[in-house]
Amino acid sequence: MHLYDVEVGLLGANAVVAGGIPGIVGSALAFQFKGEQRVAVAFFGDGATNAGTFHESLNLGQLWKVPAVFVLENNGWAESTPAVQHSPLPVDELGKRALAYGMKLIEVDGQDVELVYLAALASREHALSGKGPVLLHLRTHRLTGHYVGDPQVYRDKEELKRERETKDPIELLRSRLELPDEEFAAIDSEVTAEVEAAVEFAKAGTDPDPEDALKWVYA
Amino acid sequence: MPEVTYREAVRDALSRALREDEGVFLMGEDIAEMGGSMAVTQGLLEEFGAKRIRNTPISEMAIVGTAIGAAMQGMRPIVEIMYEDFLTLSMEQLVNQAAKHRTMSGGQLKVPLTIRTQGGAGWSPGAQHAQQLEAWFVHVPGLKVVFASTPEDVRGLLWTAIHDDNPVVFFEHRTLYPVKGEVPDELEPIPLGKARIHREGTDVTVIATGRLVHEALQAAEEAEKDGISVEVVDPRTLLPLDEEAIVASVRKTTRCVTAHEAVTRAGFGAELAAIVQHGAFDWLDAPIERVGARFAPLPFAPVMEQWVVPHAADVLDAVRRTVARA
Amino acid sequence: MAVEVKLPRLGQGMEAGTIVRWLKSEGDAVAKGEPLYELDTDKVTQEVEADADGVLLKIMISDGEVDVGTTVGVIGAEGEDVSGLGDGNGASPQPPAAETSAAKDEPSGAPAEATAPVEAAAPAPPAAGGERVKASPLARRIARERGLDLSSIAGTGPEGRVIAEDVERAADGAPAAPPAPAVAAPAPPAPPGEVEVVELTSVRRTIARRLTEAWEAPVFQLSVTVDASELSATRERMVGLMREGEVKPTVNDVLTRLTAAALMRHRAVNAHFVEGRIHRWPGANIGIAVATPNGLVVPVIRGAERSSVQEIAAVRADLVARARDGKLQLADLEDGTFTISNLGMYGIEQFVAVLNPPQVAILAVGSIEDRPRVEGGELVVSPTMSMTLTCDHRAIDGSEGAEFLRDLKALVESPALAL
Repeated sequence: MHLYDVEVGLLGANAVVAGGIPGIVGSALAFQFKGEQRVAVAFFGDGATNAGTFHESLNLGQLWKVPAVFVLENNGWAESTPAVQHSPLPVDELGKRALAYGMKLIEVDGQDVELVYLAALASREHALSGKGPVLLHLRTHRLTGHYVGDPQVYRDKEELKRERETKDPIELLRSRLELPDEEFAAIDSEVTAEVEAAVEFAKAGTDPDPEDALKWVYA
Repeated sequence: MPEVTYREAVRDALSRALREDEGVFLMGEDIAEMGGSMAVTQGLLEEFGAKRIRNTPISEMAIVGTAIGAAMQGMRPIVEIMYEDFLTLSMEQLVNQAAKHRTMSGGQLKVPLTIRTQGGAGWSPGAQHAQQLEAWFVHVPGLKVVFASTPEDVRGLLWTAIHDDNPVVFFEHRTLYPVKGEVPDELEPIPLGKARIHREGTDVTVIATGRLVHEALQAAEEAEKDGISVEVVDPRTLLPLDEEAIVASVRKTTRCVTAHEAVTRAGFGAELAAIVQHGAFDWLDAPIERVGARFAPLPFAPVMEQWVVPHAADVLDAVRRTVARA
Repeated sequence: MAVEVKLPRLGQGMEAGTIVRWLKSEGDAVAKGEPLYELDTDKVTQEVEADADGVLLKIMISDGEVDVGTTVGVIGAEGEDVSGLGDGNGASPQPPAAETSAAKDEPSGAPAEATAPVEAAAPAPPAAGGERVKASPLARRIARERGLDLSSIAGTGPEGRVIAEDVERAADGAPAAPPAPAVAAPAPPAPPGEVEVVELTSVRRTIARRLTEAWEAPVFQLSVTVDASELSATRERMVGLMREGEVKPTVNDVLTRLTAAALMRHRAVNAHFVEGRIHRWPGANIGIAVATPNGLVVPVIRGAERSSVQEIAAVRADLVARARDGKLQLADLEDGTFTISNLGMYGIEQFVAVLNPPQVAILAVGSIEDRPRVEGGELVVSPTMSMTLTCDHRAIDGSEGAEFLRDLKALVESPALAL
C-alpha cells in the first residue's frame, strides 16, 4: 500500500485519508522557496474533502499561493459510504469547496482521457504562474469495489452494471479514436504483459531481513 | 562567560541557524511582528524577512504537515507550536506522517523537521495551557524528543536538533524563559542523547527534567543539611536516552528518584524507572520513587495548582523516602 | 443446608487457637478449599480453609482465643435461617485427653506417635499477619556474595526491610553501623524516661513457657574449637559445582549434613526425653534456628542424614522463605530430633544455646574467625569456629556428649570422613 518512489516524484500512498495533503502544500512551498519550476500534486477522493487536513491545506496553500494541484477524484463513494451520507453538498458540487478558499477550480469529466490530460496541463500552468494552487475536480466513477474482493453489498448491482458498460474510459477513448481491434489488442496485451511481469517480479522476491525493520527508523 | 536568559539562548540558536543556512525557515502563529507569544522570535522578522519568518493561520495540522513537506524537499523548517497542548491538533501529521516517512519509504525520504513548543504551570493557565506531554512522543519510533533546562543546554541542543535529519520535538519550559545562565561565547553544539550531571552525590540519584531540574537542585541543597548526598542528573534528550549514564549513576548511589512536572502516571519517570530497575536491579537498595503532578487536569485556582504540581519539597520527600529507616 | 464452621484441631494436643482475622466477610461467597480465616496456634499461624461451598452467612467469633470445636461461623445458602446454630458452643469439644494420654503411653518407634504427647516441639512460629522480612535487591546480592543467611539479619529499612547496610554490618560483625545517610525519621524515637511496654503475643508466651521448662532440665555444656578451613573449602567447591537454578549452599548447610552423619553414629544424642523415657529416632531431623521479626522459629530439615548438601540447601531456603512469609505449616516444625543454632553472622564467637525440648541436645555455632592455635607444638593461624553442645543430663552422659562432639569436630575438619 505504501508505495514511495522519490526518484519519479512519488512521495507515498498514504493510509490516512487526506493525510498526505499538507505534505504536498509543504513540498510546493519548498519549490517556491527555491524557485524551482515544479508543482506538487495531491490525489484524493470525495471522502477526503471532509477531513480537517483537506481544509487546512487548501486554506494555507491558497494563502501562500504555493504551486500545488489538489486533484479530487470524485467517484461519489467513500469506501461504502455514498456522498449523500458524507457531505451536505450535492456530490457534483464538491469541487466548489475550493471557492470557499478563493482557490481556482477546474472541473472536467473524469472519464474523458483527453479532457483530463488538458485539464491537468492547465492546472499545472496555473500553479506555476504564481497565481496560486488549483483544485482539479474530476467527476469519475468507481467501476470496481473499494478493495480487491469487495462484494459491494452496499451498492445497487444494476447501477454498477450500467456504469461498467457505459463509463469505462478506455472504451470511451477507443471508440472516439475509432481504434481497430488489432491495434487495441496489441496495446492491451503489451500493457497486460508489463503488469504481469511486475506481479511475477514481486512474487519472486525474497523476504527481507527481519532486522531491517530497525534500519530506517532514524536518518 | 556571558550570561543570557533561556529565552535569549533559544533566539540565539534560531538566529545563527537562519544566518548560516538558507534552507532554515520558521513557521508559527504570531511569530512574525509580535515576535511570538513567548517573545522568543522577537527581532527575527526584521533580520530575516517575511518569507523566512512566517505567521500562519491557526491550523496546526497544516502547519506541521506543510513543514513536513518542505522538509521532505530538503529544507529545514522550524515550527513553533504556541502551547504544547496544541501539539494534540497536529498529532496525526507528527505521528502518522513525520515519524513514518523514512521507514515507509525504505530510506528514500527524510524529514529534518524541528517542532519547538513550550508548556509549564505556575501562573494559573488552566488545564488546556500547561500540559507536559513529552512522554507521548517518546513512545513514537521515528521521532526524537529533547527537553533542555538551562540556557547553555537549550542553545546547544536546539542547534543540534535543527541540524538533525529527523523530526525533533523540542520542548521548552515556560517558567525557565527568564532564567539566566552562563553560556560559552561561541555556540557549542550539544549532541543529542547525552545526559548531564548537574550535581554529584553518593546516596541517591535524582533524574529530573525541565523545571524539576532546578527544583531537584534545591532539594539536594536541603538534603545536604541532613547529610544526604544527592546526585542530580538531567537526561536533556529523552529520545534517544542516555541509558548508560543514568544506570551508571544509580549503580553508584543505589537509590533513584525520577522527577518531572508532567503527571506521574505513565509519565517519562515510568520509563526511567523501568530502565533503571532493569539495568541496576542488584544495586537498588530502595524502591524507585517517582515525583510528578497529581493525576488531575491542571486546576485554575492558584492554591489548587500549587498542590497538584510538584516542587522541591516533593523531591526532597522522595529523596528522604529512599534513605528512610523503619 | 447450613454447615457450621468449627475450630479445627490442627495437631494432636491442640486445645485452642486464636482467630487472627477473617479473610471473608459475612455475605461473601466461599468455595470449598478457599481460605476462610487465619488461625494462630502455639506453633504456627495458618489459613483455615472452608469445608463447604456457599455463602458465609454468619461469623460468630471474629477474633480471639477459641477452644477447638467451637462453632465460629456458618456457611450455607443465601437467605438461610441460621439463628439456631452455634448453640453447641460452650459445651466442651472432643476432649483431646483420651487421645493424648493414649499416645503418651506408646513406646517410641513411629515418629508420629512420639510427637503426640507434646504440645509443641519448636519454639515460636511466625506470628499473626504473615509479616515478611523484606530485603532490597542490593542486600540480597551482598548476602549471596558473602554467603550470609538473610533470614537471620535484622532489617532497619522501612517495613523492616533488610538493606545493604544491615548485611554489611552483619558481614563485618561490627555492631556499629557504618556512617549512613542520617535519616530525618518521620516519627522521632521515644524520649528517654518513657518505658515502652510490649505485650506478649500468644506465640511469645508459648516460647517463654517452653524455654522455662527447658531451663529446668539439668544441662551441661561441652565446647570445642574446630579448624574451619576444610569446611569452608568444601562449601566453596560445592558452590563451584552448582548448576543453574540451584540454591547456593551455605557453610551451615554443609555443617547440617555433617551433624546428621555424626548423629547417626551417636544415636543417644539424636533423641527426645519425654516423661521419663528416652525416644531414640531412626533419622536425623535437624532444626535450624531462624530469626524472624516476630520471634524465633525452628523449621526442620527431615532426613538430613540421607540428603545431599544441595538437597539440604534447597529445603533450607524454602523453609526460610516460608518462615518469612508466615507460611510455615505445623509439619515444618514437628519431629525435630536435634537443633543447630548459628549466631556466627552476628560475630558471636561462642555461646551456649538453650535446649529445645524434648530434644536432648542442641548445638551452638559461632563465627568463623582467624585465630592462633597450637598445632603440633607450633603456633598457627587458621579460620576457627566454636561449637558448643548443650546436653540434657537426664538423657545423655558427659562421655556420650563428648564422643559425639569429638566425632563431629573430626567430620568438620575432614568432611571426607562422613562418606
